[in-house]
Amino acid sequence: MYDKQINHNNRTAFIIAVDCSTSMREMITFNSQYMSKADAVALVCNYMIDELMSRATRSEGVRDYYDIAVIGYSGEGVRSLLPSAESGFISIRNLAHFKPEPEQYSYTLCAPNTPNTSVSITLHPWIKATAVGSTPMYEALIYILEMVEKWCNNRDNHNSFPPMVFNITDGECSDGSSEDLIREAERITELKTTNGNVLLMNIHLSTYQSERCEAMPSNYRFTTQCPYKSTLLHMSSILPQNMEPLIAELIGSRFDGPYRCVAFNASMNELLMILNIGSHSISDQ
Amino acid sequence: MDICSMVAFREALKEPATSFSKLNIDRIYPETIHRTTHFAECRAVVDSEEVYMHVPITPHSATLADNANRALFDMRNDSMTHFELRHREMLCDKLTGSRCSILVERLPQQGVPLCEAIYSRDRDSLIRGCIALDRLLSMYNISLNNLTARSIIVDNNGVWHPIRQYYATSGYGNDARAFARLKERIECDATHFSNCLHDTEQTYTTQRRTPLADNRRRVVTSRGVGYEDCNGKLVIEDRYMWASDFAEGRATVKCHNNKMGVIDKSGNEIIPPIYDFVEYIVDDGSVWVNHDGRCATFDYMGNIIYEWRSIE
Repeated sequence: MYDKQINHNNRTAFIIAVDCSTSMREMITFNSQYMSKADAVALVCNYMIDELMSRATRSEGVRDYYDIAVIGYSGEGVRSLLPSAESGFISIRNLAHFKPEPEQYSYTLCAPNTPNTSVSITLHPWIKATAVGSTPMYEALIYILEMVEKWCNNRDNHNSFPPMVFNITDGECSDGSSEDLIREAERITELKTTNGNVLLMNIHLSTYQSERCEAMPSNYRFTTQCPYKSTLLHMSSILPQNMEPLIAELIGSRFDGPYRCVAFNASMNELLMILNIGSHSISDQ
Repeated sequence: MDICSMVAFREALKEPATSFSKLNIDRIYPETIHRTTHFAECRAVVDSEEVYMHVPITPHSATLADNANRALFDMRNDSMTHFELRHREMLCDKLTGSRCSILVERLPQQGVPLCEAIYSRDRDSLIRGCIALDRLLSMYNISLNNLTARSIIVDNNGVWHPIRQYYATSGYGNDARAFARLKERIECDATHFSNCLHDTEQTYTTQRRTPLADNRRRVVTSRGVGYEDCNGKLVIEDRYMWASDFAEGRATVKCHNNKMGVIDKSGNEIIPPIYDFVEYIVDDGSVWVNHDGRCATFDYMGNIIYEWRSIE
């Protein structure tokens, strides 16, 4: 299970659901730059899409390895944030046709005991940051459920590596109770291909640097009194065993698995690492 | 039954007079437009009565609505909200003129959702309401299949009125687990008022807490209002005379000198409490401030976006 190699016959799907509510206007420091959480998440998502794009690119062009969807949920409802993907998914090859003009992104890399280094990278602004209104996460889960259900029911995808859903949020859902959210999340994670069930990873973003990140907690040992954390925990998939070695990159070696695909109080760097785990967990031809 | 979309539903609610054929809509609460698994819903006032309107948005909605309508048709009881299927009531496509049926649920005149009642009503009365509803469903041989703390209104007499009844089916018994879960939650979270102190004593000795909102809970003590986190740790001192619940990371507060401001979840003053009146607008994150007959607008981070001007 969860071992299918990706090729144009056995594609996989990535869905990134981004909380675009008002609270994403909160300012944070990312890569030594002061910016809103919405801007930082857009940067990370654009980096991730560029990464997937480059992994699918060969000398003859972009191979049709992945379907991608980036969904934003806010006071304006639930909608796709990618160009020309109104219905949700767009294949990476089609997405390449809508490549926006690249932008230079410069920042200062600060590492302990080393002098600060200026870094400049080129990113394509696939998505733009927005932060408006409430947090309709429940509506977003239903939207995702329909998309993923359709993708899994497509005969071409029956034997593929199952879709991975990343839900990035910083606050409490405004349109559903815990029971509603957990029920919809269960319906998403019950969907499957012959290679495994859909993986749903929930990432709660921190505003304050003092908050400690709790990423991929042990399914048995993690306890919380916080109903919000408990809801996110129960909404999240159990990390497949063959993907456990990958989390060493994020949190170091641990021996108390299985782990839940959830992170609380994640900083932007931790978000980037978690998204990278998602993209590195699959192998392509 | 034709199905609708969220976009079409939002559009129809903007022009209720032309979009609905028979319903006489007095008022719509746009902030209550939500999507559930198979329906879009909105709270409204129809013929001076509070209702929920449910519009089908998936192919399964039609079957569910018909089943529920049939199951609940013979059930006439004060405890059950009146549930009605109105055929071809709402215009869902202006171009083709197609119309969809909607479900209208009349709400009890007074009451609060169970998820709020748990924090304000007596535990025993809530348990009694739960048992009474279970008996009623057994008597009419019905399962509602959607009993959650958000989908039950508790009226002032402690009677439970289920809403969002579109999953109702004939045959009793499917709600057993839901009833057990609700009882467990009531036992765990609701207050047993007979064990509480007399009101006069309570003012000085105990605290009053509200439900968690945005991971912060208001605490009212003899000194004032502050905020706890989910672990019960006081994270914002109880120094305010009045404070709102948190929404999207901000709350409005009023100090003992009657001046208002806006704080973040750590208690930092985003708009310092020095103004006569402050209103935080969640939809766009702005803050409208009124002071000494003049007003200004600030953004989410407390920067001024519309300069001070006289109130006309």
